[in-house]
Amino acid sequence: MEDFYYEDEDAHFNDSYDYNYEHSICDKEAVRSFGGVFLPIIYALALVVGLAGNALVVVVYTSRLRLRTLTDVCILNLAVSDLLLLFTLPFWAADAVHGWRLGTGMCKFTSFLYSANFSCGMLLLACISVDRYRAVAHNPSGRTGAGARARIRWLLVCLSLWALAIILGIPELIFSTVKTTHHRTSCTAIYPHSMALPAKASLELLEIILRFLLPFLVMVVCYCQVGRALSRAAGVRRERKWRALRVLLAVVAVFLLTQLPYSVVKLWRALDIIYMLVTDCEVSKGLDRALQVTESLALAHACINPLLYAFIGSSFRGHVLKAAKRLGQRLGRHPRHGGEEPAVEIALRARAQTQSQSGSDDPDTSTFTI
Amino acid sequence: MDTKIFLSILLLSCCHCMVVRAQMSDCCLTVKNKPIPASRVVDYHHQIKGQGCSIDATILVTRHGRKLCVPLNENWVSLVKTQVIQLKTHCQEVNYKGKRCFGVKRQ
Repeated sequence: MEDFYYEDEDAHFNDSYDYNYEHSICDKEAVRSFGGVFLPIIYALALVVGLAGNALVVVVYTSRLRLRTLTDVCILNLAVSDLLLLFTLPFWAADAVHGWRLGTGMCKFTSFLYSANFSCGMLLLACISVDRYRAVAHNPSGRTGAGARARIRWLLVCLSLWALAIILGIPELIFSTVKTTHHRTSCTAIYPHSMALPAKASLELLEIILRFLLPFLVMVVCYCQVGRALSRAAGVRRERKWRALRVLLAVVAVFLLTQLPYSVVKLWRALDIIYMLVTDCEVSKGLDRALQVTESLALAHACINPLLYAFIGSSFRGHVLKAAKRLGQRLGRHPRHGGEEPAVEIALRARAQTQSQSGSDDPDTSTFTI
Repeated sequence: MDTKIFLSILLLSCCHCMVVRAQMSDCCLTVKNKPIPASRVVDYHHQIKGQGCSIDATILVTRHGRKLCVPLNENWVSLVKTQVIQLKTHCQEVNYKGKRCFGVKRQ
């Protein structure tokens, strides 16, 4: 132990003395090369799947004559936000492979887009759960009547959500910069040195807890109420209720499964930055790998959102079909195609009817398109 | 009433802001305050707390490219750093030839 740094003066060029690796730098090359392979694959997958799903949602919801509920409006916004988030993925993939080469301006902008839209997605998910809760708890019949006042309120809600998301992205816009270490450039957030540690610590902990915990709690509380109202509702068949409850459960479970691991690793990392918990290189590398994997999982949520919120809804499927029909009519008069359609639509309507609930008889105007 | 609850929820959730993206910097996790002969060292870097790493440190690069973690503000570290600067100037002058410049990276 005593002689770990020392050497014979004669052994000037011999580096074979006993190193104490604990006090040499923690080389993360292995983690970087893992990320350089893993992240581009995952990001490419997420981009393809997410782009297809969210683009379909945007096309269908904008071609629709009117959005009937706040949930519809939120789903459309969620798809737009997810698309914006997904558009940053190629940049992060390139960053993981050969560092950041696009300059500070692009680094700030991409980080901002990523952060703001990540926040926006979480806020919109919470908003959807609040709207569904309100639909069941307060005015099951009155919500679908979309007057001019309701539309203005939706617009205000969406604008405030986006404004909030943009505010949440501003720190990234300020602190993100291109950092060069050991011949490698990367785009990361660097806090000013003057920032007081307790302030930084409390801010970091608070934001990590609130980013995940608050939307999650809002969702759990709202969906529990919805579930209770559903199970008490008279005149709805048991299996219909169970199907609706299952969808709510899936929404909460997917949120938990994708966001919890990321939040836990982030929390651990934040604590480590503040209290210097990790002094072992292998543990530190493991933490970095865990962050890469869990972040990819958290991003996967952007691809699953269309499935969970739009595709499951009966009215969305109906609209996809109608849009396809319109397109089919416009493109070419396939007699075979036209002949098949009514049967499909009837089948779909029957399925839609079994899924609609909360007192609404018309599947197309069911208060929440679960 | 509903709008109020809604807005307060939104206001609460606005407190969070940053996304910790994976930053994989090579960092010193601990330092050892034990002098290293200046003859072994050919380069040094500073590690500043908060810029991707959790502690302040000086990274000394040995002739064989190993990076050792030592404290930031110690007398012996300052001495080693001065000698490294001298070594680098010398090696630049002699075009990195000779035993003394073994392991010294070209600027």
